[in-house]
Amino acid sequence: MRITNNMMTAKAVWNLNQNLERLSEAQERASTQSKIQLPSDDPVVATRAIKYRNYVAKAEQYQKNVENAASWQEVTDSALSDLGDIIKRLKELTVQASSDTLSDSDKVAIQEEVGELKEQVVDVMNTSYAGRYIFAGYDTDEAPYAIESTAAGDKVTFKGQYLSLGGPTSTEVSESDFTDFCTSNADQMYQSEAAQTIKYNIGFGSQIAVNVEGQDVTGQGTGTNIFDSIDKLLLGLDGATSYQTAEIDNSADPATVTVETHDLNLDDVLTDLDADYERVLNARADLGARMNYVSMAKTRISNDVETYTTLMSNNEDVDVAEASIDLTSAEYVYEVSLTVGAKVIGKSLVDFLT
Amino acid sequence: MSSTFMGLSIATRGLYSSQAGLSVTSNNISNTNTEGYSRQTVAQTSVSTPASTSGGVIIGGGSEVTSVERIRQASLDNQYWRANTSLGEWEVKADALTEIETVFSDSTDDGFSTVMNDFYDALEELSNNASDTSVRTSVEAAANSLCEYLNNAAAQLEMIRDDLNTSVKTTVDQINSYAQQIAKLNDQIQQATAGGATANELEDQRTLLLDKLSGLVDISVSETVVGTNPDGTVNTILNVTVNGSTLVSGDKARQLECTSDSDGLYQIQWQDTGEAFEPDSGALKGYLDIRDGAGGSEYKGIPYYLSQLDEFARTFAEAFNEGIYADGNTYYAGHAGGYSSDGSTGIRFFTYDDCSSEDFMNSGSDTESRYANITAANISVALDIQEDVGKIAASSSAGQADNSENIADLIELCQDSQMFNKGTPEDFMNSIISTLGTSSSYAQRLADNKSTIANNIDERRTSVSGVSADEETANLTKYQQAYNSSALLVTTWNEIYQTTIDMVNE
Repeated sequence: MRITNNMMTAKAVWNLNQNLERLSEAQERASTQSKIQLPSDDPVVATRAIKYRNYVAKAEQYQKNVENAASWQEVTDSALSDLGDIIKRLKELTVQASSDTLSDSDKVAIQEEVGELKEQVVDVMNTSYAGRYIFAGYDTDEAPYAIESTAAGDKVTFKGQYLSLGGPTSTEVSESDFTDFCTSNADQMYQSEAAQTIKYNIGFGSQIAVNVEGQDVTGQGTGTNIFDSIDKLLLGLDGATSYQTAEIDNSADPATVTVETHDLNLDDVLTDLDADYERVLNARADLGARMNYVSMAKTRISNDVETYTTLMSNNEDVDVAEASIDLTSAEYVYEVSLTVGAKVIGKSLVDFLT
Repeated sequence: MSSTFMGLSIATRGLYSSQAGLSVTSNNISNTNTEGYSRQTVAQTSVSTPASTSGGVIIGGGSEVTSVERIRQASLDNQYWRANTSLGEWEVKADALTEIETVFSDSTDDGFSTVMNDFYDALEELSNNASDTSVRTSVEAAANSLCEYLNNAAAQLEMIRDDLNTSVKTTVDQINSYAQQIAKLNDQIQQATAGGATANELEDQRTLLLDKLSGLVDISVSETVVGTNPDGTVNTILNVTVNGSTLVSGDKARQLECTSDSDGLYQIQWQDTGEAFEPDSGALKGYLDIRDGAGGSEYKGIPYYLSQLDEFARTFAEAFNEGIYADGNTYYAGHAGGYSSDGSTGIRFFTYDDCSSEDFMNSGSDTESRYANITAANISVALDIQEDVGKIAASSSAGQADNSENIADLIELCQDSQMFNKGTPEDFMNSIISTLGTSSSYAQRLADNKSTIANNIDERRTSVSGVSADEETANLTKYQQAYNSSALLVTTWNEIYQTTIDMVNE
């Protein structure tokens, strides 16, 4: 084949370009630490990258969720433990109050303490975590429990409704007043509703309920909630020997109210408090099981984060050693082609004829 | 008996021949770097008419230059044009697809993965904390980024399409200009050869123009014999046809013209007949394929990627708003089925052109016609939500601050592989990117491949036609020595004549 000088030049330039392109690619890989710059560099890596980035982002979000769920549950658990302590103290006080040897001033002191404990129960049940009332179901923006003074004495409301409208009331309130009170407030009687479970996503396809609803802890309805037990205890300490309750049927309008009078006996109060304590224990046990699940999920999700981060990195990050070797070799080849090019170009017979 | 001055005559012819050789060599050397130049050689023969007969022996009459020839191999030109046409097409495609890829590039911080994952993260946070306004704001912001990503991608694709459209016009103008220049050269060459002259330089120029034209469209070049030149060689004219239609015939060039269609895109037709022009290959075909290719039986060009983005925007918006997937079935209540902080419901989260949910609902008579309005270029977060993040329908029933059941549903929905018939939103986007990546790398490979082929043929052409400095230097020496020798002959004959004259004088 006949070779001309321009062919030599063109070839040298073409080769230089090729080598420079390789050098530039190697440099880009080394400086971005990324295997691909554009999807066409490797379509498979590019599409897998989107999947892995999505997994990693999700797993990291689950990790945050799991931390939040754990904190929420810890706050709930400590509130429940406080509530248990309060009930234990109430039981002690009830036992003390049953003793015949109690002086009047002792009774007053006990009565004051029980009154305070009632308020403490309300405070504990209004515990908030990050500005959200944890026992309020979905209505986390308002404190769920409140004590209201009414014609029938102090009554506890839950989410604005009477937890036990016809609950234990002093016989000093006349039956007709009590009936009137119950009739006029019949529409504000707390009715059990669908569960309001706040769920967190704590893993791929795995959810956990983080909240405990107040009514499941304090109880609801006449005679089966902690506040009724306390009210009975307070009446007993006041020296009452009987109390009245009302059964309200608000299916008719106006509601039909049936008032009943019961004997007041502190031993019965003790039994009620046992039941209240039992309810709190059950709630704690249920929560404990969920806390275990969350702590397992925590370990699992941090493994997931690690696994997917590794997969993502393997998929799209360059091997540093390999990248720098590539870079060095591309540099070397480019320099060699420069040297060779410089020797070849510009030589012709003219240089040797004199 | 030979003429007395025959010797001097032979010596002079030698001088002339050597001089012609020196001139051609000089011409070659000075054109070493001229684009498209073919080296020339001197065709030199011995003079056929006998100079003298001496005792029945014929002695030659010296040398003469019959022509200066252009060294060229026509078959290589044809091969090069074919290769160059493919190269033109695939180079354009590879460049344009790489540009499109940067639109979809995911390696940047504002790539698809990032905006999508940010949106999901914000939804998760909202699901954990539905009553927090700041979390709601971050959902709105993340959704906005997602919309902007799509708006931006669509706008960039349209910009690339506009650029390609301009390139179509420029290319058509170039084709017209080359055709005219070739026709003009044809005319000049015709006149020169008819007058018995050579037109080597003009032919080189014409070949160079054909080289350039071949990169733009698929040409086929033929020569037709139209007569005989005074020197006895055949007289031909050169024709160039494109796609079976004549572009240049002798000294006549046909022209192409561009007309704008309703979208402002140029359509190409023959100026004289108005017949539509569709190239089979070449850069022009590359531009048209990327500009107009809608996928299916056509090439996957910008309209294809735009329609995929539109489908993504539309399907995602419909699924998120209404819980209706690509298959047309309803799987969730969607955002419209949830309740916002103020208890309102029926709000569509994604609309178009920043319109409110209500305007969006009034924009069509049924779901299908409303969502037909949404494209990647105009998708936006509903005005209601932009103005009041409380309108995000997190709750499944009214008036429950921390009810996030609807958001939980929306999160599930976003991860549902049924949303797009082909999979989750990521899967769908992935299929676009992998289609793009694969066809771009295919185009790059082909462009490389075609470039190697064209380079190879060009190298063979250069090998035949290129000027070699070594060769010309050698020729220079050769012709110089021949010239010197002929000059010496003149001196020798001069001495001989002097002797003869002196002899007569005595």
